Amino acid sequence: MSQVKLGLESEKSEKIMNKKNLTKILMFALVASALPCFAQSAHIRITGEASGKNTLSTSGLQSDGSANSATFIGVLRSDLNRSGYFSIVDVGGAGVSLIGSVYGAGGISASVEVRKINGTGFRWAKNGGVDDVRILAHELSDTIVQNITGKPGMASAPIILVGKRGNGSDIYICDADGARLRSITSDGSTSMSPSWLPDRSGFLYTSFKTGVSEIYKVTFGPPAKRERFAAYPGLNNGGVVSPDGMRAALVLSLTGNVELYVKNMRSGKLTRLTRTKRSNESSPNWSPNGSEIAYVSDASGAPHVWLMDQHSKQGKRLVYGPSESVAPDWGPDGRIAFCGREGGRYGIYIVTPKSSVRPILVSPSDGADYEDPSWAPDARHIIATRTFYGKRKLVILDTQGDSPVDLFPSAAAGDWYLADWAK
Amino acid sequence: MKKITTVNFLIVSLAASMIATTGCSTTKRGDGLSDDEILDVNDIPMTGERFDTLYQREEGVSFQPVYFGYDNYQIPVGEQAKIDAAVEFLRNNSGMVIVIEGHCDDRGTNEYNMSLGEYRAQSIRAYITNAGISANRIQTASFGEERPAVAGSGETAWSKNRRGEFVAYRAH
Repeated sequence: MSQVKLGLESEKSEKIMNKKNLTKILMFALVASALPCFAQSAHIRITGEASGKNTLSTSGLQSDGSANSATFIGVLRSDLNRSGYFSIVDVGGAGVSLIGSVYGAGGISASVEVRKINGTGFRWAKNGGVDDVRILAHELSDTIVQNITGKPGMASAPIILVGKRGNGSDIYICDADGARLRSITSDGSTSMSPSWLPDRSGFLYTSFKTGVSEIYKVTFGPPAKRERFAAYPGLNNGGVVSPDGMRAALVLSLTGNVELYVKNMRSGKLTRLTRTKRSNESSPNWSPNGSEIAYVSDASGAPHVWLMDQHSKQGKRLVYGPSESVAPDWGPDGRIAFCGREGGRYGIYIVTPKSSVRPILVSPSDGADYEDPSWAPDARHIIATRTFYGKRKLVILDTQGDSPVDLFPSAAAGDWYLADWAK
Repeated sequence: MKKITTVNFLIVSLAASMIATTGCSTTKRGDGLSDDEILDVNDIPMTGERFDTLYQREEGVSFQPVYFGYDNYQIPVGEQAKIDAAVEFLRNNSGMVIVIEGHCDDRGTNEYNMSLGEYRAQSIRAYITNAGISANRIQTASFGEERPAVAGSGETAWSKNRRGEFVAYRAH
């Protein structure tokens, strides 16, 4: 199941314990006597649920005991754990050891050597102010994930989401671990469908602040700016900018039908992609190379995920299986996550276009509904809205089998939904 | 803001030319947008400016909501009389226009329900234009699942939330 490369020592220890190979037990004893802590670490690996992960120790990090350095090390450990690729073991002989110093007086100053058990590794050193403590911990985590696994991390990618406050809902942003939650809009009316601009310089979202749906473009600046992006008569929703930043897909009803359009970001020119007098389109989402759009159409009688080639303007149904499939999100590795309805429950599925493999359920079958998936940039984790007896929250699902994690662990964390993870 | 007004104006003029000629001309425009890229012969285009900016809300006029089936935007036969009442109102009050609001129950995603709500409103709009009322007197607005009439879940609440509502406006 896991595609993680095992560390040298963990491969050895698994074989020893599982196959009870006498020769190898002898070798083990020799190695263990040479490295005093090794037997301990092997024991932790076998009894824990961490098999298939790299063991990693941060016990070689010296701290000055300041709050900032404690935060830095705590966030780093949490990020590495959440990445899914590491098991934090804090004993000698780990597959990866972090050795160095973290000082936190008035800011953060970290100098870390990341050393693999085979002796190779790299050095990472950065300084920052008080506001950079968490940002730099995320950056180091992603650097370690990339270096050890060859895959991108997710810790530095922010999440944009909708929070409900009384009768209104507004747009918020937080870090990948749910920290540094900050409010972006305060319209007090209904807000929905936030989606990142590809360079993370801002986002599109739908607002009802004038009384009807309109799409706005917000850029962080400075100075921060909000402009009306689409305010045609009727519906304006689902705005999402292409990976090259040149076009936006959106759903409009200015012809008297709900249809899918593309709007040129510079000229404002609209191109109509669907002509479906009798069917309903929603939820456009671009392929990583920008040549195709995944969207939802009910042309087959029930809502399902379809693909549209922008040039041919021909829609083709992608998902068969669940009785409904909605809210597609195209991941960085080409797989599409969507929300499928099966047996009256909504779950998160993934499907690979142009393959004959049936969609795979990746959310738990625990009686809750899971909706509105968005991939992390690591192409492994997915954030989704979980609803159980009318109570909504955001959870991070692991497509490789680790347990789901709440974005906001606090029990009274509010009503959060419609998250979009920066890719 | 100015750019959007220009685009809206363009669409109005496109709509007007389509209605006037009915034939499917494909005149290229300066911005590369041609008529047939946006409109089909059978479309019922929306007017360019929103009623809530042009007209004043008419208080004291109310209509019964039109209810819909699950994941459906076809008007149930039993609901048609409610729309007939709105048609009659528009016939008898030539200075009035209406906005049809489309709403959904909370099952399915917010995004999908925004489109579904709009489709419900458009179904009612098409019914009214088929009854002979000018299309430029009827606009639509979808609220998806965001403005339920009845809180809670279960078919009792859901059936009251899958609806189209009429809001009357009067020229200033």
